[in-house]
Amino acid sequence: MIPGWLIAVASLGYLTLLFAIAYYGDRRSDEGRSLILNPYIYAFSIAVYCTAWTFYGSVGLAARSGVGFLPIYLGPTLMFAFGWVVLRKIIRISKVHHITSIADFVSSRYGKSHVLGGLVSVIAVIGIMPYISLQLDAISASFNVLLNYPELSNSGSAIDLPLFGDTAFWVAVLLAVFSILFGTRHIDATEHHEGMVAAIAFESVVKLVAFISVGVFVTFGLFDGFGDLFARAAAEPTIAKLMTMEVVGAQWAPLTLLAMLAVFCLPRQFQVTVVENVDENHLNKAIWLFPLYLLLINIFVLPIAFGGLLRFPLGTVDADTYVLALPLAEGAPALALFAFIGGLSAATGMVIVATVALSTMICNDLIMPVLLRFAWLHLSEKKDLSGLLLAIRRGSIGFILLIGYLYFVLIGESYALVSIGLVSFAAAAQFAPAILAGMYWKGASHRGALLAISGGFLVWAYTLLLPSFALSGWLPAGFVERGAFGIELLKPYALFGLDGLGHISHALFWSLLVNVGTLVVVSLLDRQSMIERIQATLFVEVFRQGGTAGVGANIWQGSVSVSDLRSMAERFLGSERTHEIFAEYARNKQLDRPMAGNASGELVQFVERRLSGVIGAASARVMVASTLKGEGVGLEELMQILDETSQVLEYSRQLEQKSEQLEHASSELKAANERLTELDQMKDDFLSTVTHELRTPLTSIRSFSEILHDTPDLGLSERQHFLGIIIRESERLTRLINQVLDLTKIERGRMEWQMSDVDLAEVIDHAVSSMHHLFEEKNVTVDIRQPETIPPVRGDRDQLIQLAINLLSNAEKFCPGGNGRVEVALESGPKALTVSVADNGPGIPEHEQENIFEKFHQVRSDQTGNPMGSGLGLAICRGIVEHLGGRIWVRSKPGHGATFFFTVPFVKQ
Amino acid sequence: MKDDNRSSERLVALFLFGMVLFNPLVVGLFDVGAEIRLFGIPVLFLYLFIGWAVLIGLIAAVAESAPKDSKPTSPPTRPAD
Repeated sequence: MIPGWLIAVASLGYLTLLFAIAYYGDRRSDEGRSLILNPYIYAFSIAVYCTAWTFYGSVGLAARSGVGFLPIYLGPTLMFAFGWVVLRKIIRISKVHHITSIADFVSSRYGKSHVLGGLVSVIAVIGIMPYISLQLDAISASFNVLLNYPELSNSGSAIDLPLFGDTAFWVAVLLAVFSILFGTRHIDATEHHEGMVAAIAFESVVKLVAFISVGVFVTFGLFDGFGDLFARAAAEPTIAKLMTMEVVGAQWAPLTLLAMLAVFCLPRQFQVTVVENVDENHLNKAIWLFPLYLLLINIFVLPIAFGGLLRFPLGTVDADTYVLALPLAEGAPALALFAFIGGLSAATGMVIVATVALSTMICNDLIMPVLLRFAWLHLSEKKDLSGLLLAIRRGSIGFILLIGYLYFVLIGESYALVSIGLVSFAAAAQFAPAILAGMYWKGASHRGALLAISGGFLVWAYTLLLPSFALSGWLPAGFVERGAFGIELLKPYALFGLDGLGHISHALFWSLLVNVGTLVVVSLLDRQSMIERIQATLFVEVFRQGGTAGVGANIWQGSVSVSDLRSMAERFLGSERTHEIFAEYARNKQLDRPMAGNASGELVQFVERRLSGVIGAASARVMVASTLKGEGVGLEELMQILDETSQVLEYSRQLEQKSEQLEHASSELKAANERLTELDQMKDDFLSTVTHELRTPLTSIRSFSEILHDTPDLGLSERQHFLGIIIRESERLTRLINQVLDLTKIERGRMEWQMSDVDLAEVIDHAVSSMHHLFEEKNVTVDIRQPETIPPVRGDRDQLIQLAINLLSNAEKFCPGGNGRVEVALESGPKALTVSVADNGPGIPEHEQENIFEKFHQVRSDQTGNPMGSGLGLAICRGIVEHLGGRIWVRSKPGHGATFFFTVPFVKQ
Repeated sequence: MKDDNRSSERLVALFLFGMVLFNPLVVGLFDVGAEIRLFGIPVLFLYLFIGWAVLIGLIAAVAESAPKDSKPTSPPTRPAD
């Protein structure tokens, strides 16, 4: 039991500290020494994701469904792993286009549409309202528990007592003051609310420390560590059930998906993650620091839940209040007070950021467009509109908190904390398809997005919001039980008979189905307007445009004088800020003279973007267009410029490609030329060798013929002798010509190969027997060694015989007369058959072994110095073997004969 | 830009790894009841939290080794007074 005044003083003291931090943060920012310029503050500010719902509700949910609360935190972890791809692009787009809120993002992407921006704002307000009221509820309920424990520990009837209703009311008022002071200091909504961010980051630290303190107290104070706690919990059958997935059911995957989408679609998350981001590089740290924060704050959820279940008899204490009730019951009121402050941090952080984000949307995307459109003449008379803008924003903050308070009083009590939070998540998730498609698919159209978001929202309202009204008694209860108009198929929790998923998963399934389906189908059938196509290109290709200049630099071609532009800007920005902006432009462009005359398109664009940071993209466009004279907007012209620009880019890309191709081609040509020169040289060599080889036999034929012709009285024996020479030389000539023809055929691939399975042993026998008389004549013995069975090889039989004859005759030629010996051996290898032909001739000198298979390479006899063959036989052999996929080589030691080897691959099995 | 892309690819891979890690079917494998506990902690809880911590560690390793984008991405919020 803690006295009320102490709680009040502690709370007020804490809020004062918050004010001080925010004030200090803003002062530092004014001095140009930013407090939030580091990734850790950024990551802590994103932890505004953990609200009172996390602080109290997670334990309550864990007490009902074990690990069922975890998907809400696993989803963001997964999304942040993806953050590099998705979040970085959202941040870059938002910086380039001075995006002020999620409504502004969607509106800007789909052709700067007022209607879409307004729709998103309305949905955001309706969807987030229960969530804000939930925070007020949590503060009020926790205050109640702290004050009255143990009498009133079962929260739920807080509003019966006017005092506690008042607690929530005064909290709402205080938060409104805070949000107004630190959320609307500047007129430019893209400017960072540094004080607010610093305060939020501080709150994240407080709630983390408070929750972990309670966790440590429960785990190590009330129990003897995790082991003891879980052992005792497991002994209770009802709690033991919570340690299984059975209690989680089918919710797991849908909730993970929901949390993934919510972590960037909730307006407050968009605000801290995107709008308040000062440096894209901070994301590098945040993508793991933020998940780490979630992990830390969740470690003690299960121990606290189990501790509460073990400590309190079932039903006596609401599980949502275990965080406070456990320290109170165990005599640690100081810790309970600290936990209360932690919960207060969680709740206030959420409310402050959410109201600032929503008020920007309401002002820029809902109220301003209406004022500009319907009351334009009236507004135009005003010299300075910046005061009006601030007033609208401050008014909307008050309005949001008032509605949140009323919602809390009238409806809030009917739901457990966790369901309300998830209802808001599901509403925010309706923005995800339009955002994601908008960033990666140029074809996603304005009408598609409009109908998709509307459709998804209507399904959401029907399946989640209306039932909550029915449960609060605003609608007849039969609506939930029997469906609208008593039609069973329209039951809001089991639409078209889909049952057993859980309310949230059920609503998520139907709303996203309608949402995504509509977006895809309508966009595919739609035709986009010019401005839509421009914005789609600018969004999807944001990383290719390299910064703010962009393709659309010359969007505004109409004429407007600098002074007109300046006075228009002054109305929204105030004269001081306008002066700064124009000075900044002049500084960036390094203009030394004051600008006069007609404003350049670039300047108009610059001012439009700055203006959109204040009043939103859609309104800024209308405003700038209204100041341009004549056909200023010139969308057709713009489209042409855009097309021309992309065409020029395309041409230059093509040119680059072509020059690359040319370079490649010329190097190929060079190589080909070298090869040709080489071939030409070879052809010359070949021709001269061939003619030389042909001349030798021709010369002897001619001279012997002349002798026979000139001396008719030659003796018969001599005549016979000469004629014999002529015949032999003619034979040699024929052989040579045949060989040249064969070789040419082989080299040019003109040889006709008759491929079949060949028994090489039979081929060798054939060759040896056909040369039988030659060997006998010279008294050379031939040995053939071969294994018993030889698998067939693949080849042309005739060519293989030719090959064998060439090698055999080669061996015979070099064998010494009288005691010559030739050995032919066949040997099976793993893949090919190796044939060797060995002789006992003089051998081949080592330096010759390499070149011996070249054309016209002749080994000269040691004795005579004369060539002993045509020099083509071995070249032909090589051609044949290589064509058949084998190899040919020689091994020899001078003086000990030479052995030729060749291989022919077996027939493939 | 090449290293940048490489980091993106790795992070997308980690995202997919996380999808597997927390897939209901995979989580179901560790759903062995309250009686089986490692270090005094039910296996299901141990798996979820350690898996989560490992995933965060891997994301940190990739993100910290990624090159910083040197281009200043945020315009000064206002000129110094």
